[in-house]
Amino acid sequence: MARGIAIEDVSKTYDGSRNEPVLALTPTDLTLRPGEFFSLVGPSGCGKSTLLNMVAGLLPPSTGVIRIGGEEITQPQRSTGIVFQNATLLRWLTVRENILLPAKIGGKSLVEARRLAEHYLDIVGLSDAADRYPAELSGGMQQRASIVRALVSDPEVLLMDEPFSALDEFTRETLQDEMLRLWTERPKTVLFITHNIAEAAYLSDRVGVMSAHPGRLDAIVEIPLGRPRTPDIRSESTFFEIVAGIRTQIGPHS
Amino acid sequence: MTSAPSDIGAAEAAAMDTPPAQPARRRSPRGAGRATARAILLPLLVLIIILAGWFAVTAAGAVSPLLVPAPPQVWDALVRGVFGGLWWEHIFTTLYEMVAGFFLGAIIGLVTGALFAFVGTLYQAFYPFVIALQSFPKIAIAPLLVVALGYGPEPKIVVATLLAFFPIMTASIAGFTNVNPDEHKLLRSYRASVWQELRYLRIPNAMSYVFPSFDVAVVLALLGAVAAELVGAQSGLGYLLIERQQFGDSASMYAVLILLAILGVSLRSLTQGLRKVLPRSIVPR
Repeated sequence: MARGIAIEDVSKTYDGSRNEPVLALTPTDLTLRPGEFFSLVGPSGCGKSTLLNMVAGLLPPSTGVIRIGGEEITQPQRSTGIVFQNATLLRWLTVRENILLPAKIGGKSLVEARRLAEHYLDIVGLSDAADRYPAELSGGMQQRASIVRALVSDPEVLLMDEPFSALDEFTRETLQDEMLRLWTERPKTVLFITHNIAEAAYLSDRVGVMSAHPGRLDAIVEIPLGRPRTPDIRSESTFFEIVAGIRTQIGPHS
Repeated sequence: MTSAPSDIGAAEAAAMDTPPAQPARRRSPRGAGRATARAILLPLLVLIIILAGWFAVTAAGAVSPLLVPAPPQVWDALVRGVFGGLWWEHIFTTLYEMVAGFFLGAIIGLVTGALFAFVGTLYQAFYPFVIALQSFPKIAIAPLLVVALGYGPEPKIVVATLLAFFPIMTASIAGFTNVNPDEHKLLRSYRASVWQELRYLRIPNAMSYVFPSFDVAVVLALLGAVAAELVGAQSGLGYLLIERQQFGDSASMYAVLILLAILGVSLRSLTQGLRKVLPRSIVPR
C-alpha cells in the first residue's frame, strides 16, 4: 500500500567544474503522509524538479536523508512510479509494449501487469490505441500512456514532474480529472510538480510553495476541499480564494 | 533499330498532350493532385528536352560519334547487351561485389561504431586514423589490392567495403551515443542493467540512425566496386567499360553508364523503400 515520504534536512548543491557551486535547494524538511496527494509549485529554478529527482533516487542529495516508508533512498525504487514532463515513450515500442516495459525490466509478473495495463488503458480510453506506436498518438494520449505506464507496476509512490505542462488547457483539465480518478481507485502517495497554481490546488491535499535563488520551500498550504473533486469546483469562488491564497504565499515574482 | 525512334516519338506525343491537360487540372479543386502531376510531368519534360537535345546534337553531326553516339545506337547497344544476354555476367559480378562490400561494410561499421561509442580508449586511440582513412581517396589503393588479391572480385569487395563502411560507422557511433536524456533517465529509474539498456534503448535508438546511412552506403559500395574494376578485372561493368573503350564502342560505354545509373537509383530506392516498409520496431521513426 501507499507509503509516506520523509524528507529530512535535504539540500542540493551542484558544483560546477569551472563556476562557483550552485545551491539548487536549501536544506528542506517535508513529510508526505501515506496516500497523500502533495504538490510543489514554484517558478523555474526553485529546485522542485531537483527535489523530485532526489526522491526518485536519480540524484543523490548533498545533505540530509530521504526515506520512503522508513527506508532510506540511495537508488531508484521499483515501487516508485515516475511521470516526466515529456511522455518519454520509446518510439520503437507500441503503446502496450511501452506500458509493460517497467514490469519486463523489473522481472515482475507480466500476467498481473497485463491485467492492470488493460484496466488502466480502458479507464483513460486508450484501449483502441494500445497497439499503435507513440508517434501516431496525440500529445494528450501519449501522456495518458505514460501515466498508465507509471501505474501498472502498482507503485506505492508516484512522482510526477510537470506532467501536464506541455498540453493544451482542455486536455490538461481532462487529464487532471482522469488523474484524480486513477489516484482514488488505488490510493498512493503522489508528489506532483507544477508551475500552475490552480492545477496544484485542484489536485492536492496540500501544496508546498517554493521560490528561487536559492531554491527553497517557503510555505505549505492545506487545501480545504472535499473529495471526490469534480470539474465544477474549478468555477467556485472558494476555489478562487484558495488559489489566490497560494499566490500571496509566492509573493512578488522575480 | 526501328523501335527506338518510334518510342521517342511516343514520348514526344505524350509531351504534346501535356499542355492541354494542365489547365484542366488547374480547374480541379484538389491542389494535391495537381502538385503530384507537376512533380511527375516537370522532370519528364526535362528528360524529353535532354533526349531531344542529344538527338539534335548527333543528327547535326556537331560532335564526333566517338564522343557522343546517337541515342538509337546507345539504345541498340543496351538492348543487345541486356536482352541479348551478353552483359548479365558482368551485371552479376558487379552486383555481387557491391552487395558483399555493402554487407561487410555494414557489419564492420556497426561493430566498430558500437565499440567506439562504448570504449572511450579505443575511440581516442583509433578514431584519428579512421578520420585519416576517410580523407584518403581509397580507390587509390585499388592497384595495390589487385597486386595482392588478383583480378577476381576480392579487391573490388575490399574497396566497396572501405567506401560503404564509413557512413554506417559514423551513424552507428551517433546512434549508440545520442540517446535522449529523458529516455536514459527513464531506464535508470527502472534500474535497468547494462544489457537491458542496450536491448531496450541503445540498439533500437541506433537503428534509427543506421538505416538512413544505408542509402549512402549502398551507392558508395557500387562506386567502389566499379572503380576497382576499372583498375583491373576479368568481369564486371567496370571491366566492360574498359573493354568497350578499347574497341572504340562509345555506344556500349554509354549504355553501361545508363545501366549503372539505373542500378544506383534502384539500389537506393530499395534501401529507402525498405525503411518505409519495415515496422517501427526495427526502423524507429
